[in-house]
Amino acid sequence: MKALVTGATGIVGSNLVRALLTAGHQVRVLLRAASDASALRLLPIERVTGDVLDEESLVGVAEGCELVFHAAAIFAYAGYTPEELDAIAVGGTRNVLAAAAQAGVRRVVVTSSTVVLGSSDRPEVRDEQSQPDETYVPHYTLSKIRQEEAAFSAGRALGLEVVAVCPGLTVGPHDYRLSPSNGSIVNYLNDPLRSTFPGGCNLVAARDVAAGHLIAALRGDSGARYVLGGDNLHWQDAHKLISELCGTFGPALTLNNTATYLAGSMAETAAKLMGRRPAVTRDEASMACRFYWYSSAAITGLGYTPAPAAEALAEALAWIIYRAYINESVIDRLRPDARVLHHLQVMSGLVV
Amino acid sequence: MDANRPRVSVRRVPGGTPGAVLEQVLEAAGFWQVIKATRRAADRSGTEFRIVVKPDLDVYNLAFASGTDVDLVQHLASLLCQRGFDSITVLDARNSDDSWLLNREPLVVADLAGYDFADTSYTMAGSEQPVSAALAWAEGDFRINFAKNRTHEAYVYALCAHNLLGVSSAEDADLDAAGRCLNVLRQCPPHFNLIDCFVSCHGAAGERAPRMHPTCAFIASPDTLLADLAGASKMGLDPFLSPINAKILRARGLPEDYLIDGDLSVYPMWQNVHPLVADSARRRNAAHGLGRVAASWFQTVDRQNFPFREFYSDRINSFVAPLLERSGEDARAQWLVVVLNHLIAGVGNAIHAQHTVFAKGKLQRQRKPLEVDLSHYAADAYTDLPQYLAPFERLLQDAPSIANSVGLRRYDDAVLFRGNYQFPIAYDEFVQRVSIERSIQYMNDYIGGSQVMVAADSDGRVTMQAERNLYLQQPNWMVLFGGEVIDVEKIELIEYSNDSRTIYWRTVSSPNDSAQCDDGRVSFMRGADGCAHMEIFTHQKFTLPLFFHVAHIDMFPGFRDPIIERGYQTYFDGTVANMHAVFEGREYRVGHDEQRIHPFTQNGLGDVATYLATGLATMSELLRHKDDYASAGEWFAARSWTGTTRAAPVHDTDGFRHFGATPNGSRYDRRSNEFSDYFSQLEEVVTDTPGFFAGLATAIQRDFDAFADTVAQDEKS
Repeated sequence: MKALVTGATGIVGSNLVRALLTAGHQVRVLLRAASDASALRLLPIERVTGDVLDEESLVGVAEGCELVFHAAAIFAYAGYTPEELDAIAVGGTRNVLAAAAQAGVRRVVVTSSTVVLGSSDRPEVRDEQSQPDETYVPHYTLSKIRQEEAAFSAGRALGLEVVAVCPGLTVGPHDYRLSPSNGSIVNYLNDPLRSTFPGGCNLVAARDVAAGHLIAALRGDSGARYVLGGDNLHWQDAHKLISELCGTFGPALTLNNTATYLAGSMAETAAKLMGRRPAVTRDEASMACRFYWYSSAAITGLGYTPAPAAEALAEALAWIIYRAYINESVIDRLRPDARVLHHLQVMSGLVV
Repeated sequence: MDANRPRVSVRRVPGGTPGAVLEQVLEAAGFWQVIKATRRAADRSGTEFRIVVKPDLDVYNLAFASGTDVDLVQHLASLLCQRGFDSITVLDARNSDDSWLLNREPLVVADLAGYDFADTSYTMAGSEQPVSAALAWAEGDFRINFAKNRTHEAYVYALCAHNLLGVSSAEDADLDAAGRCLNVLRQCPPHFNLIDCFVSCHGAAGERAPRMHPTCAFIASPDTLLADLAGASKMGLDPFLSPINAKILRARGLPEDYLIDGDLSVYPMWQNVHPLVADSARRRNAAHGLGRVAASWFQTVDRQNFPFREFYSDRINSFVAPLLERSGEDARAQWLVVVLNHLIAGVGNAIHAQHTVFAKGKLQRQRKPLEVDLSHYAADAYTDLPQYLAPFERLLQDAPSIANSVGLRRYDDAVLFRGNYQFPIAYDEFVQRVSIERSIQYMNDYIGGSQVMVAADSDGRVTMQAERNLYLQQPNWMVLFGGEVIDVEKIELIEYSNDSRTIYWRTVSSPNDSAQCDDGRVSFMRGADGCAHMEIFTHQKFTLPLFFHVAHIDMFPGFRDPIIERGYQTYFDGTVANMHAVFEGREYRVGHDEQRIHPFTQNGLGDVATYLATGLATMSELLRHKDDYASAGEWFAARSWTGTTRAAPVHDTDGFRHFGATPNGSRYDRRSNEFSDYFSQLEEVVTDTPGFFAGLATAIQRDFDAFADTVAQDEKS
């Protein structure tokens, strides 16, 4: 089977490409002319140039493909206007679906996010039927909600099977642009106070998210959405796990809502004044104080078996250390666990 | 009999002519006898006998007599020539940093101040490089220190000892001002000291905004401290009020059996710097990165002759300096100075704290020489170190481990700590690359110091040494509470055997009183498997910041103990990581070695300081136009619309990109453009303020909700 993957240079896309290849499928990736394709280096894939925002450039890109995985998106909480986020999420999705319909593709799997299911201020688990009910929703979340709506309505209009998959906090390797998910691990380790937050997250390995895409494509119901999650953790436990895996101290300080918000505000303001990308934003700070806990029961019934959070974090930490995303002085003081060391050896080519 | 006693002469002749009073004081102080005796001792004739004169030329405003009067220096040169001393060099070098102004090259200042380069009775020498000035001073056969009688904002008064700063050696650049002056006095002291008090500079602002005062006097003495003692007494001051003089007085003391010739009564109508102002100015000057910059904002300057190098300083100074120059007469101005100084010191401390906790790479490493006199320590002071430490180590033997072979125990308010680590490296290879004599420097958060070898064995290995070590505050966040860098001076003993190397140390002094004890031992041993095994033992008691004394942290062991345990765990982890780095040839030290010249001259002002300067410049502009808001708005608008500094690249038909040249504006134009860029970023942040407060309100609401939930659950249970 042949599949087209958009957004193949991102953390979800690049792991998805590998999952497809491992499963024996042929893969075609859509790359912008200026894309940094480091994440796809040496992979036996077909590369076509195009831009999801440029409808004309998509003509024929899905020819001969049975499946399309649309993972192209902007995953950022700063540096983009709401219009730019919507352009990619909504306009890009419509363009990709139109191109898929034109090429006679059977099914399109759209990478959404669990944020479209909302969050809770208490440790409650949400599922595919949940709706966001917060008083404030970040622009990124809004763009993902609109993306899903656009995907399902375009699918209906074009007669395409559309399945939406909603990954949780996706951590793992091949993340060359350091997504906010892996970024949250980096921020924690770089923070000399090793602060943690009152909320919680659903932590999932990038390779499991990739596998979930494949399951949804092959066995999912058309018009359905599936949560691709892992373990639901309090941030405090997630951070403790990170510290244990790295052989370092922490978490040392639990911030409350106000302190987290103020810290995010300071980081954002300082970055704005200095013309830099903020390490953390107010939106992310607010999100860290809520519970983004989800159940993957629907897709688990189709064969989805995510790894435990410790395993997901071990691989992500190995990637973060391997790519030296953490301050050098911090790296020097880490004594990584054997699980992290194993992944580091694999990444360094010492172990196959 | 009195002629042989060290003396200081004071002559005050109201209504006299300066030249005549100078001649009187020279006679009274025995100047001519001293110079003749020195020439005889040097066995040199008139032209070979080189006389150097160091006047005080720290002049920022030529209209005020804030430096040594040029006519008096020339008169002194003429007097010397008349008596056959015709090889005279008037030497100028800066006593304080003034690199934020243009035209400050020593010979230019001398020229502007009125020195006659065509006068054949003396030659002028000046250099921006301290090394040249120091060399010329040191090579002089007779050195005359001709200071000005003036108050000083930070040092309270600045007389003969302070004037020696300009001839201090470049090797002493890392020392503080007092240390530099002390070394000049130790290595090449002046043969004679004069203070020009004919027209003095007094006032509560010191050299920042000098005010002339006709005191009609001169002070002369072969001894620098004696001259300053008389000078301070005439101002009605305790000579120890100047940190420079205090340090020198404590180190050297006054000459024995000295004679004071003249009247030491206080000058009429004399005004000194208020202690509050002096204290705040010292704190401001010490502020990390900002001290020197801020000094340029407050200084009254003759802009015609000494234009500012830098845009922000110019804008700020033109508004702030006139406001503050009347601090002697206007209590509001004085309090404003104190508040601003403390504010800048606070910002500087905050920047330093931010670097210490979050960005250690931005900290400057420090080279601090040993201050302790090693001649006070005989060999047995070193060889007794193992016996001194043994009882402390015994106390720790049965202490439980907290984690990873690390143990600690509190004893007499000190912390006894032990850590063991097995390096996966062969012992012989390890000790070859990781020197035992430098092992204290490999410890966590070492930021500088110095090391002096005292003795070595027949193989050339160091067996006794002394060190000054500076470490960042432990834990680092102590800096947020005003904790000081740990600065300790130690004597050390090193023992070698086939299978081990051990260094013992004991702290003998802490120049900033940051530690009451910091003793210990590091051993590298050959393990049973042939690998290197390290054992660290320390006995430490650091001075806690005031906050923890007030809060009485010892009353809360549940809070105190985890902090101590975490601190020592981090220290041990960091030390092990550093030793791994040393073995692998990687950089292990925190901070950097770059010598930052003046931030504005090198365009290297840190981000925070730049934004502070921008903010202050913005405020200055607004307040300057406070009577005319329309023109203030116009001023800002004009800068906001200045546009970018470089045109957008253009693609030609061959696909090449052509970049426009950066406009050839003056430095001020470019700065002005940057200023408008910062201003628009600032504007963006300000525009977002309502959003910020909305989010903050939500966050606070959530905390209240969470609190209410907790209370409800408690009640339920």
